[in-house]
Amino acid sequence: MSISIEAYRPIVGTQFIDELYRIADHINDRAIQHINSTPVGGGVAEILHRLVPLTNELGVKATWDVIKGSEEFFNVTKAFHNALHGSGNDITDDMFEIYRETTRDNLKSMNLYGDVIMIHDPQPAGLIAKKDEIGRKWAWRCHIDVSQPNKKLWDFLQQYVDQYHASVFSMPDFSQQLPIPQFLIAPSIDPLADKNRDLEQSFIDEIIEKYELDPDRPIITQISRYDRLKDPVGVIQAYKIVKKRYDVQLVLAGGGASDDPEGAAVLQEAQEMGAEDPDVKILLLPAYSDKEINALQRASTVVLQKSIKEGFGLTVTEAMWKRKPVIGGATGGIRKQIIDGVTGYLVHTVEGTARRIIDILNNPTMADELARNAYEHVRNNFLLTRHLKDYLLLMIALERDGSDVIEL
Amino acid sequence: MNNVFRFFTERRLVEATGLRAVTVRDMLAHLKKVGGASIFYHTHASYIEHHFVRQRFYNDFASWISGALQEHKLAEKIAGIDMLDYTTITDLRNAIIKTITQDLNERKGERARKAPPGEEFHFCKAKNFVFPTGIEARTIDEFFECLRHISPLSLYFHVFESRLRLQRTTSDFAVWLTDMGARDIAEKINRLDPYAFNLEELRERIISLYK
Repeated sequence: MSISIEAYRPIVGTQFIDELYRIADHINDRAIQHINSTPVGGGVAEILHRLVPLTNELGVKATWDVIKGSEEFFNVTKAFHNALHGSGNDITDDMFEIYRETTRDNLKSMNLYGDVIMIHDPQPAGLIAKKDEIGRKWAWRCHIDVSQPNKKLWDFLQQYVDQYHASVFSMPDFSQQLPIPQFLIAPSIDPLADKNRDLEQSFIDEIIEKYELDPDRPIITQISRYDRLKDPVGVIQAYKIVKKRYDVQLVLAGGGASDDPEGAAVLQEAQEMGAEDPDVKILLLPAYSDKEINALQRASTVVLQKSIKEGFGLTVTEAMWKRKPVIGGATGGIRKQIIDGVTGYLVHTVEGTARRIIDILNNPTMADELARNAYEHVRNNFLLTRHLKDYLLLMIALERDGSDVIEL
Repeated sequence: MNNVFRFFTERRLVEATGLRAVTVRDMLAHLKKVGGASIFYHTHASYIEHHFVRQRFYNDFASWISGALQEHKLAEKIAGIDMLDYTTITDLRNAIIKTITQDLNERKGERARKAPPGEEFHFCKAKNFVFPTGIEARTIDEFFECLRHISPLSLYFHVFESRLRLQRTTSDFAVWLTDMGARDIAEKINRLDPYAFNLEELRERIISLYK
């Protein structure tokens, strides 16, 4: 069952929820249709599962449809995804043909009925071909970093993207030069999801016991995939520097290394580095461990996200929301979330990470202040309700393009 | 005379302009041609996004020049521009351009510093959606009571946004209080430098003027 918008009132404040209703009133009878490529799994589906019912509750009709594609098509779009990140395979003309063919099939079979049609990511982007025939307002919501894409692929996709009325990116750093408006809508976390909601202390204690942690000694945690770009090895090195003088424990927890040989190698390396030390816990968590991850974050004294390259970094948002002092690599969206020395610490090296961990251990009052600011920063800027507000404003902006000031 | 003060608020959608700077010279070139909405955004966004904390610089140009380029002198000079001296974005833009140009002239021949990859300056702007909060004051007492309850964004709208957008030398609050006969409080508000506080501090400061 979906969670009511009213449940967010005590969290984000009654004025904010009232404002959402007010903004929704200005949308009248116009409906928004979201279209993406998968009903489950991945951040986009996760957010739509929650946003769509909330939008409806505010009186704005919202629906969500999913394109169909063969395994071959999704292999192609996976290759696209990697190439848009500037890495991976060669992009071939055959791939473009497979993309076009699936787009044609979906154009025939899909009902495109929204007054605003929001297309998420590259997979369904070709549906814009219907614009001239049916009109409507079209927005392309790009969740991935396309700042340094494979040029051949980007040239191909841009033929579609340029036809939209507007694009939406998560950060300016992810965007491209485009002839259409580029709105910036940051990702968000749901404070009422299992991954983020308040937990009973008894459950947190259970998890501490399950993973043989000592609640009386500081716990340093990093939650992330075993991926070199998340630098789990650097995290262990920083822990080892701290461990020389401080009796701390380290938790590295992440999932999904089974089908990823590189990930398996990184996991193994981390395990070898921590093998001699009973205070290092390297956990491979199964999918759907949201509540356990939540508990591990809440049990932590310091949370790290020592990434070398990062997208937005929602694990940082999650830890900040739990009022934890967070130390993050100065990269990508982490730099948007952590104001150095105010809402956490930004670091560039293993040594810097160790130094900041020690600062936090030695200055609990300062650590509390960082954590308080972090929570407030997330409450104001990175919660689901703000995401919802931005989509409503986008609907209005698409209808009344032009002016920088819109009076409602 | 209509003596009801209606509190408005605003919400915004941020847009990337696609313009990026890696050096101070890039920034200067873009400053000359970017729309006024972008200048306003980068001199004010920080007050909203971090309304509860005190920042080193509230001006994004100064923040970037200090943080990404480590050009601390220039950053301080830009942050030192007295925003209250300007009632139009054009004048404010010119002041920033003049400050950067002077600095570049003084340091002719020095090698330009480049922002590290990932720390480029992205020129953005905001589309603002302005609407009434439904909160209204009919007396001065009510007005100051309302001030305790309005959102930081509502406060921001009346103090910052309306001043530069309507090109007044005072805030909405001072105009209304003067109309209500409270000229002394209005003048105190006018003497206040709203740019020196975060929004929560500013709220407290304005309320304290009435005690």
